[in-house]
Order: sequence, then C-alpha cells, then structure tokens
Amino acid sequence: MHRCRQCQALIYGNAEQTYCPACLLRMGLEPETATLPLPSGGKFRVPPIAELQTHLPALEFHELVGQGGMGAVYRARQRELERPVAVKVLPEDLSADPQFVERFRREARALARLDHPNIVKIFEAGVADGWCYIVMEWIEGVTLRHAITVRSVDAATALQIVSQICAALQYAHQQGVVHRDIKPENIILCTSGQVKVTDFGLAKLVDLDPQDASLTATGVRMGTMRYMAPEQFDARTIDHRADIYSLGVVFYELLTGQVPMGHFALPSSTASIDPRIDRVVLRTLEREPDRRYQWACEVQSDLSDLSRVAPYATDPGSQRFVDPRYMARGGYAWRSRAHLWGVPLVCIATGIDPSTGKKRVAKGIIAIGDVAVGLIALGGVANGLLAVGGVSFGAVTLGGVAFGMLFALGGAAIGTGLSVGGGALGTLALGGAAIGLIAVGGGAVGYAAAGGSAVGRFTHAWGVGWTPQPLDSIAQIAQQLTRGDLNLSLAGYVGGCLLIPLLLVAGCAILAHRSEADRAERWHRGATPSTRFAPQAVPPWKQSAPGTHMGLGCLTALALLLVMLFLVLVIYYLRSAPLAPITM
Amino acid sequence: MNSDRPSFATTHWSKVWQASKDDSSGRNARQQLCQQYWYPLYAFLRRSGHDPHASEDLVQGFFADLLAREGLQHADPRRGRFRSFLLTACRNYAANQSRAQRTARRGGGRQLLSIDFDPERAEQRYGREPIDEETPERLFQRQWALAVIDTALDRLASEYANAGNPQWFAALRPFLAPCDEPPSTETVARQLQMTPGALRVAIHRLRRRFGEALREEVRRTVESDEELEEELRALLAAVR
Repeated sequence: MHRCRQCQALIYGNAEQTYCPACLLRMGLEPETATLPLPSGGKFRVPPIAELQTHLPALEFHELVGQGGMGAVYRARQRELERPVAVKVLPEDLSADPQFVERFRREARALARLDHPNIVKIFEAGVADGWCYIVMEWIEGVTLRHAITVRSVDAATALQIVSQICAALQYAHQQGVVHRDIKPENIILCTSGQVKVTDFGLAKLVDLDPQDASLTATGVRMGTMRYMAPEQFDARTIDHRADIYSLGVVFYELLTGQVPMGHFALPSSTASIDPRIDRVVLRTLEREPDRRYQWACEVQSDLSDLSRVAPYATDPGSQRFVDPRYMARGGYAWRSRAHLWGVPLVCIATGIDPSTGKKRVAKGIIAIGDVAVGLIALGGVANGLLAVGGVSFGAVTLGGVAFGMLFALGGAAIGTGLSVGGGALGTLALGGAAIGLIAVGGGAVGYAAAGGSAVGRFTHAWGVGWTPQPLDSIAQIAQQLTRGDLNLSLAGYVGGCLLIPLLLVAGCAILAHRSEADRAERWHRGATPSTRFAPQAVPPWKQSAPGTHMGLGCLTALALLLVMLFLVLVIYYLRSAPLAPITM
Repeated sequence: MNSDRPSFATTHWSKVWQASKDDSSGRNARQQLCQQYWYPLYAFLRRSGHDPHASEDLVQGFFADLLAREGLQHADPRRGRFRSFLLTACRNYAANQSRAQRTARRGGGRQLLSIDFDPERAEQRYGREPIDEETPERLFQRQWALAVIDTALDRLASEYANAGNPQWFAALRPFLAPCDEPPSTETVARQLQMTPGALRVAIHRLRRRFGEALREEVRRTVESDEELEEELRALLAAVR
C-alpha cells in the first residue's frame, strides 16, 4: 500500500492498478480544470527574439525580461503607436491544440474587457505561426516577489498594497473573472507606487501549466501551490473566493516574510504589527470559503478602517490614545499617566474597544465611563466606594438604581444603611415609598414610620395612626385616614409612586442604551455586502445619539433633586410635630 | 468489449432494468450492468463473513433473482442510486436466503445469467484487499468506485480502438493518472511517432475525455445531474 505522489491518496496494493483512483475521479468532477501536471517534456523552448520579430512585424522586440510557467515575457514597442508594451508568449506546445487556441481566444476577449487602474491592460492577443501571444501594457516596476525577497515592504505599505490588490480583485470578480493564480510573481509594484495585478485568468487557460520555472522533480507546481486555496486541491468548485484565500497568503507573506503552512503563527506574533490585522488575515485564510471574506471589497474596507486609525499613536504626555473613528461614534479612552497602586489615577473610557469588540470598562482610582470601576466611579454602571451612575453599587452610591452599603441615594435606593430615594429600602429609609426600620416618606412602612401614610409600630402624627393588623379592606384604611391628612398623604403617595418608575426607567435606560458606537460596530462587522450596506432594523428607542447619555443623566439628577426637596419637606413637618407612640 | 454497449451507453440504469424481460438486447444490457458491478458485491459479502463459495453462490443467486423478477420487491429502482439500490437489495437477499433455498435456486439462476464469473480470480483479487478494520460497506463503496473507473476506462479503450489507434490508448494510459513515475515522454513519443509537445496535448485530451466518460458512466447510475456531482464526490470520498 502506498500513496499517490500527486494527491497523497492511498493506493491499495493491487498490482493491476497502475493509476490513482482519486486523481481519476477528480477528472470527472472537473474535466475543465484537471490539476494534474503534464509530464515535463524537457525545457520550455524560449522563442528567440529574431524569430518573434519575423512573426510579429508590428512590434519591435527589445529583450526577454522574464520566463515562467505561463511562458516568456518580452519588452517591446508598438511601432505604429510608439508605446512600450510587454509581450507574453505562451509555450509552443499549447498552440498545437486547436481546442486550446479556441479557449485562448475566448478568454483573451474576456480579459481585454477588464479595465481597472490596478489591472494590467491587455492591448492585443492572437496566434502567430504557432505562438499564442498577448500584448500588454508595459509597467515600469518590480514584482512583489522581488520586494518580498529584499524585504523592502513595511506593514503600512503592505496594507496599501493589499488594499490595491483587493480593488483589482473586486472589479474582476464583479466582471465574473477569477484570477486563480494570485501570487507575488503576478503582482507588480509600479515605480509610481501603484500596484498592478497581471495574468488574470491565465491559470484557468493554461490549466495544465506545463513548465513552471519552479518545477520540482516530481512535476508538481510547488511554487504556485503554496498560494492555492484548499478547494483548489479538493475537487470542489472554485469561485472567486479562492482568490481571496490566495490574497490572504500573499498578505501573510508580506507581513511576516513567510508563507502560512500548517498551524502558522499569528502575523502579529512574528512581526511588530497592529494585532487587529490578525483578524483580517485569518479571515482571508479560512479553509471553508463560506467562512472567508466573501468579497475582496470587505477586506479592503476592513483594512482602510484599520489604516485610518493609528492605534498606538501615543501622546507622550499621558498615554492618550484617541481613536477618531470611535470618538466620532461616541467612543473615547483616556488614562492618566499618574498611577496609584498600579492603577491609573483617572481613567475615562466609553464606547467599544476595537481590538476586542467589547465595551470598554473604565478602571481607575477615579473611573468615568459607560462601565466604571474604581474608588470613585461615575458612569452608566458604576462600581466603587463612591459610585454615581445609572446603576451604582458601592459603599456610598447615588444613582437611578443605587445599591449602597452605607448610603444609597437614587430612584430606587436599596441599602443596609441610609437609603434615600423615590423608592427607598434600608435601615433608615427616606423616600416616596420608604420601607425600613425607620421609614420616612410619602408612604412609609417601618418600625417607626413617618409620612403621608405611615404604617408601623410608631407613626408620626403627621401620618395616620395605625397599628399593624390584618388589612380587611381598602375601605378600612380609608376610614383611618383623617380628612385633614388626606391631601398630604395623597401628595406623598403620588409623588413617591411617580418617582419610582421614573427613576427606574432612567436607570434601566442607561444600562440598556445602545450608543452610536454599538451600532457602528455592528455595521462594521456585517458579513456580506448585502447585509453590510442594508439598513439594520434597530428599534427606535435604541436609535439614540450619544447625547442621550447626558439627557438621561440630567433626568436622574432632576429626579434626585425632587427627592431632596421631598426630604426637606418631610423634615419640615417632622420638626412641627414630634414623634410619639401610637395611642390605641 | 461488448458490442452492444454503445447503444446503452447513455441509458439510465432503471430504464435498462425495467425493459421487457423478453427483449434480448435489454437482457444483455442488464447482464452487462451486473457484470460491471459483481465484484464490489462479492467483496462486500466476503468481508461480511461469508466464505468464498457462499459469496459466489449469493452473488450468482442474487443477480439471477434480480434479473428473473420484473418488479423488484426490496427497492424501487425508479428512485435513488444504483449503488445504494444494489447494496440494499443484496444485503436483504443475503439475509433472507437460507442455504437450502439458495441451492434450490442456483440451478434456475445460472440459466438466465451468463455473468463471466471466475471465482478463482475473484478470490485472488479479494486476497489482495488490505486486511484492516474496513467495514464491508466501506469496502463495497471503494470497490464500486474502482468498478466505475474500470468501466469508464473500458469505454475509453473501445473509443480509441474504434478510432483506429488502439496502441495509442495502451501507450497513453500510464500517463492518465500515474501513481508511480510514468515512463519517459521521449520514449513514448518516439514509439508513437509524435513530438513530445504533441504527446502532451494527447495526454491532455485523454484526461479530458476520460473525465467525460466517467461522468457519462456515473450519470447512468443516478437519477439527476445534481446527483451526478454528489455521487462523484461520494466515490472520491470512498477511495481516499
């Protein structure tokens, strides 16, 4: 039992079997693009210039500039138009096959229609005395292979190069042309800085690439195979997404100088680059076409997002990194240079962290942010010794919903110590509806209760005297309400009851609020062009500007003010009528 | 080569199967189908634990039974693939068949069926199968794939023979999908009196034509063009 030297499939030990069944079955799956190499028949005969000159008199041949799997390339000049051109001459054997010549003509017509600044233009194609040739735009520059070899490409340039390749691929893919052979040899860096992709569709044409310059002893096209998408090896159908994989290999090589093989390292671990690029590279290199970027324009737009942002443009003063894109969308991050116990003295952070895709959390002695954690924390959700925010947890807390150990002040204040708020729950509770050991409020329930309608062991005269007893009916309570107190107690009830939902809503809204940055991020991650550019269904209450945060904050503050006002009123009444035990 | 193969080359297997029992060309075609695919069934039965004799009897009996009947009881030939149909039918047949019934039926079966069945060669071939953990089903699938390939190769050989150059096929065949080092192109080119370039074009065409022949052959055993691709992938998975 041994393996096929082409596809590594197992050949079971059958002496009669001189063929590889897997290779044969693949021929059935893809008759047009059988990838088996033809046996090498000696060196590819490069046509001498003199011979070409007689076949193509309209051109003035200067020199042979390159030779590879697809034939030989000459520098020439069109006599009539006096413009420099590159002439690619395909191997002689191919033109012996009339079917090939027919396909060549058909393909050339399709390729000649491609007109894009990043694609080498085709001027003319034809067959002259047994040689298939293509006349192309002459590009002054070097191949990307050359640039990689001399390592002259830095990360920023790599991003620009890849972005231009993307533009070329996107255009060609939209025209229905798949390159099939994206590799550094086929990418030219012009002296003007422009990037041009050449040899579009030729791989499909010369699917049995006869003599690659890098032919190995076994006849396998190793040079090109490293850039081939997995589906180009399997007998799956190949579409434009194969180019996106090859692009990923080129990208990886540009960044690291190596081709990704097996379990390859992340680009950022080999080269000093922005780790966010890893995500883009990895997605182009997904083995499953469905999990890859579906279109080259998606790669390009992700890259342009990255390159517009200088992630580590550090301000020497205070390690400040402001991401303009996220700033515009309501995101911001700032850390003071001064540290205390290894924690920044001040940290301000809002919005989404682009490197993790998660909400930023402000952590510092003084922390301000959507989510803030610190000794003094201010934010939508604040956790700290002193916490102020939509929802706050801590020793001393102020917020829409406040949970405090010592002091909680908020729409709904819950604490073990003093709770003050629309709805207050605590040892000492003051509020619209107060429940506690000592409760003071519009409606107060407690051991000692004072308020518009107080329920407790001790109640203030201002309230309604009432001993804890089974509530038989609402009428019974109503009976106990003295006429003179009715207005006051009603005001207390209404005030307290209004404040509770108002402040609860304010607190919850801050928690659930989707800021602009959130939406931007979701747009940013859209998978395909169709979903990416389609307006997303965002509920109206979520479609708020960053200013909403401020609005909600003000609302909370206003509500807190009302609570304070209410407290003042309560204290005023308490002063006028001292607390006394209930007389049954 | 069977002379009436071309006339059934593109006919779907279920049509061949349903053709009138008395129609002699229909019977020939049916026998031909059996001929192509008896070895995978034989290998399946052997791997399932039957001895060489029992396996031979079962294959013979199964085909005789299948050909003698007009309507098929175990499976509907109008639906599904020939491959799964034969396997299911054969498995059921083997399960249902008691030794006594098998012996009784053998005589009748042999008359109807003229499969070129060489038990010794079959056993030899089976002996070369790798002894491993492979299930009978998987062995059957792999053998089926090889049988399909063989049929396509036969068809290609007859095409080259009809075109008047049978020696071409013999010379080109080692290049079709060589699993070892193929002979040197110079030698073969000289032998066929052509240039190495022309030889490479010829190999290219041979491969393309083989792909087509293979598709035609597989198309006969499935219901639709969509299934064709699926079946080819299944076969590819079976030989890997």
